[in-house]
Amino acid sequence: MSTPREVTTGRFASSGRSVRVRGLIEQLGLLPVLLVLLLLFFSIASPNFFTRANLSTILTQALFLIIVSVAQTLVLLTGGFDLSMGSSIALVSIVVGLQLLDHPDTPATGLLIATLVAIAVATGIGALNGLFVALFRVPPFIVTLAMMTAVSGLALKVSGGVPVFGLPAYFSNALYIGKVVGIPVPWLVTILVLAAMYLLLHWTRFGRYWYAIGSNAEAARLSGISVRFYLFLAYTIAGVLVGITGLLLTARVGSGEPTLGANFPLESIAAAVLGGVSIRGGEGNLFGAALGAIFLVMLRNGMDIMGISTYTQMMITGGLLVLAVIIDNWIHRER
Amino acid sequence: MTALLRAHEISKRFPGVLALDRVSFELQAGEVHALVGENGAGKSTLVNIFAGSLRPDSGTIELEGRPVQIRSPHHAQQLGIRAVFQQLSLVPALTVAENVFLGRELTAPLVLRKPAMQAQSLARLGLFDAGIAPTARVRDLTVPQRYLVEIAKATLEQPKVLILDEPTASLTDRETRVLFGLVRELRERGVGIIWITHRLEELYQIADRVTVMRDGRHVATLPVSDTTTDRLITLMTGREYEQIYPVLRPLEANAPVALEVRDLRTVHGLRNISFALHSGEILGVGGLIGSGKNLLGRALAGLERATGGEIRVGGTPIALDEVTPHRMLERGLMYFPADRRNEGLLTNRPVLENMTIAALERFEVLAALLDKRRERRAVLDFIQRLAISPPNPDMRVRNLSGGNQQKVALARGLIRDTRVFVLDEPTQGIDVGAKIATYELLHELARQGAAILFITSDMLELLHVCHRVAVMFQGELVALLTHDEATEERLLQYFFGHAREEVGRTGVDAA
Repeated sequence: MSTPREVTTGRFASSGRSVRVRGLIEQLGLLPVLLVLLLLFFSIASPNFFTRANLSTILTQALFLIIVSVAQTLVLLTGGFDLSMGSSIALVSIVVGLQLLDHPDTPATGLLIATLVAIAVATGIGALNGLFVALFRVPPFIVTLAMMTAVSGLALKVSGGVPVFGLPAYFSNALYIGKVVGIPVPWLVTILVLAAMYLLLHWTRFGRYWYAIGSNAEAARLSGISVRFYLFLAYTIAGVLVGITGLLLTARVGSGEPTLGANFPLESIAAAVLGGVSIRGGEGNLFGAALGAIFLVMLRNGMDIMGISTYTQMMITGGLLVLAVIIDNWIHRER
Repeated sequence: MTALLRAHEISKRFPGVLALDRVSFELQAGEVHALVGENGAGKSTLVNIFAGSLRPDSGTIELEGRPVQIRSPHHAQQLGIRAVFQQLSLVPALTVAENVFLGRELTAPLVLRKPAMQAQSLARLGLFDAGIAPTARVRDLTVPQRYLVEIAKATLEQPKVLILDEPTASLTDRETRVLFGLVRELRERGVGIIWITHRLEELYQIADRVTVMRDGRHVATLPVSDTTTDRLITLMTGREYEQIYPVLRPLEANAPVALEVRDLRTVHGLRNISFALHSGEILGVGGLIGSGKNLLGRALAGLERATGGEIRVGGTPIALDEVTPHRMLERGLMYFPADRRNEGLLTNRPVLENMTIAALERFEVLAALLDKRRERRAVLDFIQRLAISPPNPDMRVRNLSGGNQQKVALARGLIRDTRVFVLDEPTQGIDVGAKIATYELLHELARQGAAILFITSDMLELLHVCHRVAVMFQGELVALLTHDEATEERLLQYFFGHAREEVGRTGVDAA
């Protein structure tokens, strides 16, 4: 038994560097390196990039994508993904907007109702996704694509295709500009979401089970895990996070928008994959996904400053996603 | 005399293993040359190189005295080398005739000559008298029938070299005899045949010479008439019998029944399954491929739906619709699938997570948080006890060797309170050293009072590792023999359905 083992070293020596590079990327993710390169590049390319104000803008813009990317990561870990997050945010925005119009003068009630409605709507959509994926074994791609289309239709129908304007000022004042213990509310919420999800993923059996299901659903089942229940739960919890994002984003734009967040599904998948979350499931973590979100927003911001057109930006972002998946394949190919 | 096929100092490396280490092999025309060795000895790698599926890293191959480089399976076929593997190369949606002629269809300029192809297929298959219609779709055939179609396909145009990989594994006795006849006929016509097998006894019926491989190396090539089964086993394993199998401790007289199954039947054709497994007992389950021995394990885990009968774990009956992996685990029964990579392990997760995934509730504190320190201590303890190497709880399981992967899988059962272990082919694809470690572990578990159902295709394991042996045949449990009653001849008779006993009456109470 010892002989073949010893030979191993010989083999790895011949292709040692590639294996080492892959191992390093596997652990850290490619992202920190790319992030630094991007920072350097834009700082050299434009004097307006590396300023305190601009960096703070980037982070503030990134918050929403961070939360959605964390939600997406949760679903990706189980081996699925969710394309309906964007239209879910749009529907949340419309419904929240319409509810707020009914409470122009009562901030406390208005905020409470807006929050409850936002979370209920998005959680419901997530739960429906989970139901179809877990119980009826419909592939996540089909379920969430269909959900994306249907919910988007619903959002447009409810709103009549036009934004809900005239939201009471207290809404944005509280949830976008407002501060609690000196921290702006969106920041606080993002930090809380990250902390809660970290605990859930890494310090409870829920997280272990999600990783296990994404790694090998059959093995998970044989280990006594109720795969269906935990799949359902993953999509549902992702829904909760999407609801929170919808609420915060509506507060930021100040109106109920029927097409809000349309880019989120793809951008969140891109952010997660860039951050080392495997599209095959069972690998990666939420901080990688959060970094990926910051990377994407920084890229967009930098290209804006350099005057690169939106169309070119879209092409670059698309290419980047393909590149991320190729790198993902390279890291995870059988050795 | 020039050899038909000569391989000289072939080496082949895979990531992590040297699968072939300067192996030489020689096949004469008109010879049946058996190739034997443990799983992982390199037999498959060698014949895959002959069949063009793999390229050697170094070494030379000569066919009829001329050096050749076999570039692809297609090229191998052009050279006259055909192989029939366990993994069949048939297209399920096509008919038998379409499969036999796949890639070399008979055409009248453009149109397919279907009747001619069907007639020729029928002529080939007629040999077997297995009732296979050329117009039948392959997906509707049984496993042995498919195998015969594959052989018909391989021998349609007479090959120079025919490679048969465990040809009798899925065949019944009658089909085996027909296959022997066909092989002898091909041998007389000058075809060289490489016959890979695990059934040493059949060598004496069909083979002229035998080559033994071990750990990727050529060990010996002998005329079959000069050797005995015992000698071959020693050559294959590098050890004497006694060194491999631990001494079987007798069962305690009044050991309680840990698992009792009565008249179990399932959707996919298991029936008449009755047995009782005692604490401290290792009950082997043998049978041919397709005999249902693997389905039995799946049925006990709830992966194969039971339609009738009774299952009791530790005396408590379990309603048949409640037989799920989750519920059986709660009752203390854990199932370990044969396909560890695809069903058993979280290959891209670390050892630690793999070991504790079925026992996380034991490590929970403060409602739901995991006590990771205690978890890690438990895992380190098992890594040490099972001598898992490297002893690193954070290593991804896919980077471990097969034997260590198996240990990790077993640890998952050990780390929680498991009283019944249902193991499906636990020693498949692991080397001798790891096998010995596995046997010792099973014996240790039995000593501590665990009940073990040991499903295996390895005759020697049935004979030497188990207190009793159950034999499955066509979905039924046809025999339950004690260690002393179980002989190779006797087991084979049951394997092939020549004999059966009334298990329902005598078996359950016999310990």
